[in-house]
Amino acid sequence: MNNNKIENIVNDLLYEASARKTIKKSRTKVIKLNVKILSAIAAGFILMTSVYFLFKTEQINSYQDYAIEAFEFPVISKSRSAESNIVDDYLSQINAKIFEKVLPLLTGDNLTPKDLFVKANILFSNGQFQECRKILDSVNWQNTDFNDGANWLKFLLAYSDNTDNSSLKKMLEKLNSKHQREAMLLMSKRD
Amino acid sequence: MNDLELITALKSGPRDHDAALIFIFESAKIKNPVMAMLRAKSLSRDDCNILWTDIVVKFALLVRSGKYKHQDKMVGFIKNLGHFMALNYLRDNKKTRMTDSVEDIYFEPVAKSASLYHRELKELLEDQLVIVGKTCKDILLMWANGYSMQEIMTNLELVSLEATRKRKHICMKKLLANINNNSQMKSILDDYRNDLYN
Repeated sequence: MNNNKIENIVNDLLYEASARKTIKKSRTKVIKLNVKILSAIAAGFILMTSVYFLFKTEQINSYQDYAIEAFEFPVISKSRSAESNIVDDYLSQINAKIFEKVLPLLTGDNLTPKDLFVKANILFSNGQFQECRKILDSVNWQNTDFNDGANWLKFLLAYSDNTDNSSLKKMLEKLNSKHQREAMLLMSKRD
Repeated sequence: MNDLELITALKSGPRDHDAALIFIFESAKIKNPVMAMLRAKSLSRDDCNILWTDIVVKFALLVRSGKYKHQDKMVGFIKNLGHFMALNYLRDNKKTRMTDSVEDIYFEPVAKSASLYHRELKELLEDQLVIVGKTCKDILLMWANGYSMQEIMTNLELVSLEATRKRKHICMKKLLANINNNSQMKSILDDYRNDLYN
């Protein structure tokens, strides 16, 4: 085979190698493009999720704000019973919504239902929802006023936790008429 | 792009040529029947993909060298070429063909001869291109693809047009000398009873 013929074949082989390189390059571009598209989709998804959670958190915060706004610290009167309540000695401060002195005293296992009721309300007004919930769930409220007040606090806690409306409606049944009206108003803010 | 436009583009300058080459490579209308035929020969997906690249490249070469005569049967011709290349591929890999479901295969001397010794030549040339060096390889591949000396000079940031010409000449000389000195490649080239060159 003469040199000229070899050169022709080599030229063709070079052409084939070059064409193969062109195809390979185009495939790499497609893969890179796919990676870019997937990255963009992933970034978009993360952004959407973040916005969603941000919105949700904002929403929950606004529900908490509504609940705190609707909450009014109950007027505490002196007990007529023989029961010895810590809070009875601090009524003027409590009704003036000054809790710094009385709250540290409301500790231990010997607290009366009245002490616990006041403590739960103080905790709620301080935004300590978890601690407040613990007290509300642990006591069997015999006194009607305390029971009404505790049910109202439970409703407010559930509302600020973004509990669904059907569960809130069930809780409405346990509220007195005044709190029912306020609860309906709160629920209407969700619609 | 229709068949005739593709054939014309493959014979044109590097940009139109590359666009047509990629179009054929990616076109489902052309690729799917060939891939189905290859799959029917019990070739794995990876083998089929390797072969599909080789088939497209070989077809482009036949078009460019004027050996392919367009008669409105472009896909049929590519399929035939694929059939012969698959047989050689199976032979090279010592695999047994399980089925041959292609009934519309017709004897195509150009397609058959073009696919002979394909793999050996491809691999040996790749080895030789590594030996001549990266710059020489890039110059020769661009030149083979139809790029002008000016484009090669700009693309590879060479000093001057004259230097590019000289460099290409030296690289080609080096490559041919290496091939002539390579007994294995020389013997394959000597055995390359390719009708394309007769």
